[in-house]
Order: sequence, then C-alpha cells, then structure tokens
Amino acid sequence: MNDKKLEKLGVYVCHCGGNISDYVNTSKVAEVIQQEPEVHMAKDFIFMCSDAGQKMIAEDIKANDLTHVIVASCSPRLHHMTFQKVVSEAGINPFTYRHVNIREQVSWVTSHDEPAATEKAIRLIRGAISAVVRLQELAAIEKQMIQVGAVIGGGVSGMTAALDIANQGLPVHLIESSPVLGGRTLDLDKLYPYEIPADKFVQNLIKKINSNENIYIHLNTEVVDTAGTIGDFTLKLKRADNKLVNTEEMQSFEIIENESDAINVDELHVGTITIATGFDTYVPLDGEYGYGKSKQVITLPDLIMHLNSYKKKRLEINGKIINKVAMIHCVGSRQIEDVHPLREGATLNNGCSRTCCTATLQQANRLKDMFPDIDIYDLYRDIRTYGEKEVYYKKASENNVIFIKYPDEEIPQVDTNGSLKIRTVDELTYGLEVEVEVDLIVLAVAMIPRAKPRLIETLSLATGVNGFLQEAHVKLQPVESPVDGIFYAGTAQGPKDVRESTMSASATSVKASTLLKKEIVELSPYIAEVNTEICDGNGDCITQCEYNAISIVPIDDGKKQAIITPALCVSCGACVPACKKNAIKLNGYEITTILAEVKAMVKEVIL
Amino acid sequence: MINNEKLDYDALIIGAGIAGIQTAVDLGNMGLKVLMIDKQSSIGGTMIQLSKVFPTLDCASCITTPKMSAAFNHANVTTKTLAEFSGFTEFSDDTFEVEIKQKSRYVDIGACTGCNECADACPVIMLDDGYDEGMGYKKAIGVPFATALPQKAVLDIDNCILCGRCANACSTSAIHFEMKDELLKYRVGAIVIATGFHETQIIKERFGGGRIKNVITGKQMERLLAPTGLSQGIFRPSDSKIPWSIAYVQCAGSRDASIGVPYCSSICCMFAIKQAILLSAAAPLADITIYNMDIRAFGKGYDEFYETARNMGINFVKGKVALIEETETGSTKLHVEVFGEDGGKQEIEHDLTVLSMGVVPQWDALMSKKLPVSLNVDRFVKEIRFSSEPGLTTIPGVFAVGTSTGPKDIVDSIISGSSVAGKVALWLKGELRDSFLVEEFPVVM
Ligand SMILES: Cc1cc2nc3c(=O)[nH]c(=O)nc-3n(C[C@H](O)[C@H](O)[C@H](O)COP(=O)(O)OP(=O)(O)OC[C@H]3O[C@@H](n4cnc5c(N)ncnc54)[C@H](O)[C@@H]3O)c2cc1C
Ligand SMILES: Cc1cc2nc3c(=O)[nH]c(=O)nc-3n(C[C@H](O)[C@H](O)[C@H](O)COP(=O)(O)OP(=O)(O)OC[C@H]3O[C@@H](n4cnc5c(N)ncnc54)[C@H](O)[C@@H]3O)c2cc1C
Ligand code: SF4
Ligand code: SF4
Repeated sequence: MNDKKLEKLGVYVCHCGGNISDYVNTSKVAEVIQQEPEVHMAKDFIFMCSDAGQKMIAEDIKANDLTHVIVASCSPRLHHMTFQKVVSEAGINPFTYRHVNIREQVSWVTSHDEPAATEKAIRLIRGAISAVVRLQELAAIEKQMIQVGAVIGGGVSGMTAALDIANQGLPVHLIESSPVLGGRTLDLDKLYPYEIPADKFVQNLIKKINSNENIYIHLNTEVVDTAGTIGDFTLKLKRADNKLVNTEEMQSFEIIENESDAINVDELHVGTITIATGFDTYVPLDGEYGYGKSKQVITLPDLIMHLNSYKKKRLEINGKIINKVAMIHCVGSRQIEDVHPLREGATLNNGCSRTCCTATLQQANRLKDMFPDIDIYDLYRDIRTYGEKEVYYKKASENNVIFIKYPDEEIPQVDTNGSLKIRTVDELTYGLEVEVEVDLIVLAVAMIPRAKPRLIETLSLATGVNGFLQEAHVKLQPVESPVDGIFYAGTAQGPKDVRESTMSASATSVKASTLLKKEIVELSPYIAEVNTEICDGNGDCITQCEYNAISIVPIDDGKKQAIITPALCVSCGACVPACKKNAIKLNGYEITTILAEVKAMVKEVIL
Repeated sequence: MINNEKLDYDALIIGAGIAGIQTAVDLGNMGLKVLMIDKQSSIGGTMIQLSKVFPTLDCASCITTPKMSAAFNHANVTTKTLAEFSGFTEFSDDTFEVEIKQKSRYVDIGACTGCNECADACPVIMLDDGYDEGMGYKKAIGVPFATALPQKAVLDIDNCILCGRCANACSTSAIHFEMKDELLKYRVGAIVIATGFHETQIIKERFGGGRIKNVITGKQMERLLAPTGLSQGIFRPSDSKIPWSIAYVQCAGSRDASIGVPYCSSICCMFAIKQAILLSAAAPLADITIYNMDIRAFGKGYDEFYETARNMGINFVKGKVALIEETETGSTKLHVEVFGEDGGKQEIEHDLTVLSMGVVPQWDALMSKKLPVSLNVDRFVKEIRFSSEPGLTTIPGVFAVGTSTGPKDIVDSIISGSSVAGKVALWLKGELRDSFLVEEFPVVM
C-alpha cells in the first residue's frame, strides 16, 4: 500500500471526564504518540465527544490540512459514528477514520496499574495508526430504498406503529400470526391508570387501521424466513390457512409476488421492519404456590378474564364461594437463585415485570368494588406502583386490603392439603409468622419474552436482559435494534404497560418513516470483496456465508466467478479464510492490515 | 393543512433537556424546521448535571454532550438559550404566533470565543447554585460549565459589581454591560412543552427543613460524584471531611399528599442505588444505608442493578425515617422505624444524609397562564390521549414530552421525545385535529 498518501494524521486522546484519565496517563499517551513518524499532531482533552471536542477536531483538520484522524476514547459502538460524521463534515473521507477503544478495553479493565494501562493505550493507538496508513479511500455503497414498511405483530404496539407509518403517507404491511388484531390487551378489562375500557381501546385502533388505505393487513400469517438489509428486506410469509379473514371489522389484503405460490406463501419486499411481537405470561411450575395442585390457585390474567363477564353477587370460582383471597406478587419475576423453583433448562428471570404490581392492586380494588365483603391479603416484596399509579396502592389501603411484606429470600408457603393455607413471614410486623386460610390464591405472573421466533435469528438480532430483544443502546437508542432498519416496538423489547408500548411504537415509526422517505440508503463499504483476477469460482466461500451474500456466476470462456451482493454482506469475514486462493478480502480489515496492526502493537513502548 | 410558507419555524420546543433535544433532532431529521429554546444559559437540562447514569453507568456527559451537539449543530434546528416563552396568539389556520423573551447575556455570542479569560479576571466568587447545586463555586461571568453548549460566557448581572475587569480581559470585546432583553416573535405551526422537572423544593421540617448542613439532596450528591464537579472526591458540606457512613432517605419528597406530591417520582430509588454504587467506588470503606419502604426498580435491567448493589454490600433497610437531627459533631441522627425481624424504633447516626427528593414539574401556574394547557391532578401537563397517543395536550397543536407530563427516567424521556416528533409531523400535515378533540378518558381518578 501507499504510505505516502497519509500526509497528516491527527490523534485525539479522550479523558472521558476521568473515566479514562483516572487510570490512563492520557497526556503521556498523547506525548508518546506525537513521536510516531506518521503523526502530525496528538492531543488529549476532557471530553472528545462534547461539542468543544468535536469542534477542536474540525478546526484542526481545517487549520492543519489533516488528512486522517484517530480518536482514542470509549467503545466504537458509542461514538465511532459521531466522529465519522465530524471528519466527514470537515472534508475527510469518513471511511478513513479509525476509532480506538481505550475505555472498555483499557481503563475499565486495567484500572489498578497506571503504567500498564498507559502502555496498553499507546499500543492500541499504534495499531490503529498502522491500519490507517493502509486504508483505501472507500466510498459508501448506495442502494435504492424500497419505500414500504413492515410491522410484525398486531397488538397495540404493532397497530400503533403501523398507523404512524401509514399516516406519514407510506405503505406498510401489518403481519399478525393470530386471526385477530389486539394482542394481549384484548384479555384485559379496564386499562390502568385511567380505567379506559380495553375492548374500546383496541376497537378504536382497529377502526383506524381498517380505514387507512396505506395499511395492508395479513392475519393468520407468520414470517417464516427473511433476507436482506436496510432498504431492501425480503420477508417470506406463510398463512396458517389460505382462507383470508375478511369480515367487516377486519380486512385482509393479498399481496402476491409469485402467482404459483399464491396458495399460502407470499414474499414481501420492504425497506424497514418493526418488530412488535409482544410478550407471554409466565406459567407457574406444577406445585409452585400450589398451582396445578389446587384449582383454587389461578393466575392474574385468569382472574381478570373470569371477572370480565361476571354478573353474580358473590364471587364463585371453580364451584367455590370466595370470601378470602390472597394475591402473591412477583411470580416468575425477580427470581433468586436457589430460592425460586426453575423449570428444567430455564434461565433465572431476575427482572421485574413492571406492570403486575399495579395490575394486581387494580384487580384487588375491583374485587372490593364488586364484592365489598371479600377479604384480601396482598403478599408482596416491594409495591411498584410508580408514578401516578400510586393511587392504586392508596386506594387498596383505603379498601382495607391487608398487606403482607414477605422477605425476598423466604417465599410464602402454600398448603393445598385440605383447606388452602398460606404461611409466610411478615416484615411489616417485625418478622411475625402469619398463617391464613383462603379460598383463592391469585398469582401475579411475570411478563416474559415470547418463544424466540425464527425471524430473530434470520435477521441476526440478539436477545439481552432476561431474553427480551436487545436494543442498540440501552439509554440512547431504546427502540433501535443493532441492525440498521429494524426497530422494536412495545413489550417485545421489555415489560411495558399500554401507554409505554404505544409511546415506543410511535417512536419506532418516527425512525422508520424518516428512513423510508429517503430514496437512497448508504451502506458501509467495509464489506468483503472478491479479487476477480485470482478467483476461479470454485465456491468454497458460498457455504461459509450465512447471509446468502455470495453467488457464483459464469463469466467469459465458460469460467466462473464469485460475486458478493454488497447489501447482503454483513462484513463477518467468514468467507475470507474459506478461500484457499486468498481471493477474498474484507475491506478495512485486510490480512495485511491486521498483521501490520499486530506488529505495531508489539513494538516496545518507552514511557 | 398548515400553510408552511407563513411559518418562521415548523415547531417551537420549550425546554432543551434530553426530551426536548430528542424531539428537536427527530423533527430536524424529518426535514422540519425547529426553534428550541431554554431558559438556562446552556442546553442539556438535568442530564448534563448528572454523574453517571443507571443502569449502564455510562458517564452522563459522554452520552449527553453528543446529543446536545447533534441538536445544536443540526441544520434544521435553531437554538436559543436564556430564552423564555412569554405568550402566544393562535390563528384560525392552526398556527401560533409565539413571543419569546430573550434575556440579555451581556456577552456578544458571535464575538465570544469561550476562552474564559473573563472568569479569570472577575473578582466575584460565589456559590454556584445552578449547575453545581451549591456544591461548587463560580464567578459572576464565565462559560457556565465545561460541557456547556453554547460554549459562551454569560454574565450574572445580579452579582456583578460592574468593576469592568472582565471587559478589559476580553480580547474580542465581547462583553457589553448595557445589553438589553429583547422580545422576539415568530410564527410557528406547533408548540412542544419540554420543560422537565425539578426536585421537590420543600425539605420537610422533620428532615431539618434545609437547615442541617450535612443533609443534602440527590442532585447535590450527583454534583459531588460528577467528574465535571469542582470537588475531587466525596466530602460532607459542614467540614469537608470524608463521610464514612452515608444514609439515603427514600421518598423524601414524594408519596406524601401533605407536601402536594402524592405520586411516586419513579426515578429516586434508582438514582439512590446508582449513587450508592458510585460511592462504594469513590469511598470504598464507607457504609451506605438506603432507608426505604419499597425499592422501585421496575425498568429493564433495573432489578438486576439493585441486586448488584446488594451484592456490593450496600444496606437496604425497610423502614420509615421519622426525624433527622443534627448532632454536636455535625453528623445526622436518624429516628427510624425499622421493619423486619429485630425491627422497631431506632436511632441511627450517619456522617451524611442524602434525601432522595421527588420530581415536580417545572411547568408551573405562571406558565399555564402564558399557555393555558390543562394540568392533571398531579400538576403535570395533562395528556388527553394518555394511553393511545401520548403527548397531546388539551390545546390542539400543543404537545408535551419528557418529565413535563410525569416522572420519567432518561430512556422513557427519550422515547417520549421521539414519539411526539411523529405526532408533530402529522399535525403539521393537518392530520391530527380529530385526536385533539376527543378525550380518551372522561373521568380522572
Ligand atoms: C395481567 C396483566 C394486566 C395488565 N393490565 C394493564 C393495564 O391495566 N393497563 C395497561 O396499560 N397495561 C396493562 N398490561 C400490559 C399490557 O397488556 C401490554 O402493555 C400490552 O398488551 C402490550 O402490547 P404489545 O402489542 O406490545 O404486545 P401483545 O399484546 O403481546 O401483542 C403482540 C402481538 O403480536 C403477535 N405476534 C407474536 N409473535 C408473532 C410473530 N412471530 N409473527 C406475527 N405476529 C406475532 C401476537 O399474536 C399479538 O397479537 C397488563 C398486562 C398483564 C399481563
Ligand atoms: C439526582 C438525579 C439523578 C438522576 N439519575 C438518573 C440516571 O442515572 N438515569 C436516568 O435514566 N435518569 C436519571 N435521572 C432522571 C433524569 O434526570 C430525567 O429523566 C431527565 O433529565 C428528564 O429530562 P427532561 O428533558 O424531561 O427534563 P429536564 O432535564 O428537566 O429539562 C428541562 C429543560 O427545560 C428548561 N425549561 C424549563 N422551563 C422552561 C421555560 N419556561 N422556558 C424555557 N425553558 C425551560 C430547563 O431549563 C431544562 O433545561 C436523575 C434525576 C435526578 C434528580
Ligand atoms: S464518551 Fe467517549 S468520546 Fe465521549 S468523553 Fe467518554 S470516552 Fe470521550
Ligand atoms: S411489578 Fe411488582 S409484582 Fe411485578 S415483578 Fe415487579 S415487583 Fe413483582
């Protein structure tokens, strides 16, 4: 490669307000790096990502005609793009920018030995310098945007997401695996905190959806396979029955790409995907709090549904008159190892389900309203009626619901032999042991992720905390997936109530429709590239590529050659070692570059 | 359809905390022209004051400053600081003429380079009760803080002694003592309220009424912990000693109708846990006790964060703090009703006590006079379509985001900011009128 192209390199070392500089001698790093022959200037600064830091880089580029920039700071996941944008706006090709992680990879892990951490930071930056020297002037790959959206899941989140995209004037497909729209909200009674009737709420949304010409509804439909990237995703749909639901309330539109497959497989081409597949409720283990052992132990959703059409003056469940009810919080949530029973092969759910405290107290109050003489014991660990939902707690206290706070590590014991009994320790009475006989036990079951649909894998998405979909950045990009063009709406990302679900759904649609309105999408040029002079088309690479990005095409003289579809390549690099002739390279990460980086890193550091 | 040609800006955003910033960036990305104002001298709101954020422990500056910068430098976003909303006129074509009071900075923003020579020259040193929450000092003139945006000096005329030293020190002659406030008027298509929150302002009498030196608030502790704070390390205000025993009193300004805050503030359990974790690192030998009735760690990954804190040895005591007294040595004596085994009434001493104050809206009665949106029972801006279309207020064309509508953490504030950007875009297309006219819940509980 041509070393001379690297005329002027600027290196910036970030303190991260102490996050780095408390453990790494950042000024020393800048000083040593300044000595490197390729480096024109090296500086350190308190927050490189701040406006002042960004301006400093931009001004240096202009004043010193810098041609290349390296920033050594936090993880590239956080700020690679930030600085790429800065250099690009200052006139440097953004794909010649390199980011070095001296926070997660240095200061946070080498926090006990400043000289060692400082040395490590220097080595990593030297590696980057040697890579930058070798970088080609790549340009973003441009691709046509298919200006159609897709939303998978037709609960309140999916419906809201689809409506918001459609209202922006964009066509959108709404794909729901069950025969009806509405999801789990259909099973509820009134929605806290303002007691809106759930059925009306859902009907209202469905009405809007049906009258919107931009929305194409696919009911009874599952996505069985996916391919593609932002701007051009392919979704293969399969309908459970090939009869289309077409009642007055719910229409379905048939989108058929390929006539011969018209029976039950359709293919959609869309620019963005919103995943709104919702949640499941935890099913207690056999015998967990007596569940399955006694018919008088039911779940909270069971109770809600039972009461929904209930007309009698006294509460009767499974043939028994109910005078005393116990409600147990956190069933299947906030699990502690060796305290809570686990299903075989299941992982511990140590998260809180967010909605069940309020939903439980809402039902407690409802029971008291419907059957004033009923006694209710509420067994909890912490009551989490956050925000305005505190009124449910207050009202339950006024309703004389008896609160029993059980210790985190000592769960209540249920005895189903003979009469139904609960034994527990109550912290509110300074650790008194209490035993109560009840007629009904209601378990506030957890919100858990749905069994991982295939599309999560085919789209290369990940699950994170307790199995819910993992967002791009927990704080800053809560509705974005790590894959460009894919978004998460509602409870598929984590427990939420209806308001929080619709809010997140609307947020996804802002992102999706902003993208869909663009005609061209720009893709990263850091992808695999075939050297056509060496490639003989033998195809060893094809089987290695999980993303179907490689195809073998015939060329002149009956020869063959591998071709990479840029939009499908995710730069995983799996094809590179598969080629015995070394005909494939990964742009920006060529073998020669990596070797040079290693060489530069092992060079001696003199502090 | 709103006639965009008549408009100076498509939307006005009042308040440039994280929620307002998010709305501005999303609207800007949609190609809409935004005017974002904040009454303070820098944008960033509360988030830029924080140390690190739960549950990721990202440094707050690291994740706030790029967002601030993205909004501030966005081609479609115009930012004005020291700017307050002061009134509006509504037109029949669904547009508004808004009045904004541009307070004088006494510094020419075009000329100021942010070199801060003025602050070095200024002889007036005073407590910084804004950004530093009284935990640091500032001069009567200077760039507000290291990560402020814009990076421009501001003169505090109330504390300035008009000695003129700053003006002499300024190499670009940017300082003008005679600068006047201005009234600006713009025609906009929509208004977004993003005025956020502040901590509950009344410190209860039984917690010392604000008179005990070593009883501080959550926000003050943030400033002690922040890398951008003046202090290096943790000290207690009375004698600058390292506190070896620190107490947190939860719900100190919430869940109490008698102080007008009956609701739960949603974030204070989490920030107390976060601060306790950070304190364990800053003062490893310190004992930290969090007195609480319920720990409300309800967000994604939050209970796990709580568990981490417990595993680190932070004490969580179920109990009610009835009274706080100052001891002779300046320490704090807590009278607590402790629950659980061996519970009962106890008196426990701590070197320093932090009150986890609540979240109350900054949008007050005065603001409601200038823009008469209805408020809910908790005095936050009321959303007429709370569950289906969050963010719509009782005035068509006026929206609300972030903590102006209720307590929220950063993630929820960001989600709310983004979601409302979409609603604003629809309104500007003339499509949301019906939603504004139908209230979702007729009865307020
Ligand atoms: C007991 C209980 C009480 C509650 N009470 C309240 C309350 O009073 N107030 C309130 O605000 N919230 C309440 N909630 C929360 C509320 O139920 C949720 O916020 C809401 O249902 C979330 O909607 P969603 O669209 O995200 O998910 P869901 O309702 O789960 O909808 C997801 C949809 O996606 C479909 N789907 C799933 N997988 C696929 C796939 N692979 N392909 C296509 N489609 C798929 C499903 O069939 C479903 O229709 C309560 C929750 C519980 C458990
Ligand atoms: C001690 C403490 C610690 C916290 N720690 C965390 C944490 O670790 N993680 C987390 O997720 N959350 C945390 N939070 C919560 C977080 O601060 C809020 O979620 C977030 O700041 C809310 O942003 P906002 O934009 O709604 O409001 P704000 O940040 O309050 O911004 C509102 C802005 O509006 C401006 N404004 C107000 N009125 C007017 C007016 N009339 N005219 C013009 N401008 C006006 C204000 O000057 C301000 O800049 C913490 C809160 C506290 C108090
Ligand atoms: S986030 Fe990254 S760039 Fe910003 S201050 Fe921290 S380390 Fe530096
Ligand atoms: S919301 Fe309440 S019941 Fe549900 S998991 Fe959290 S603490 Fe337990």
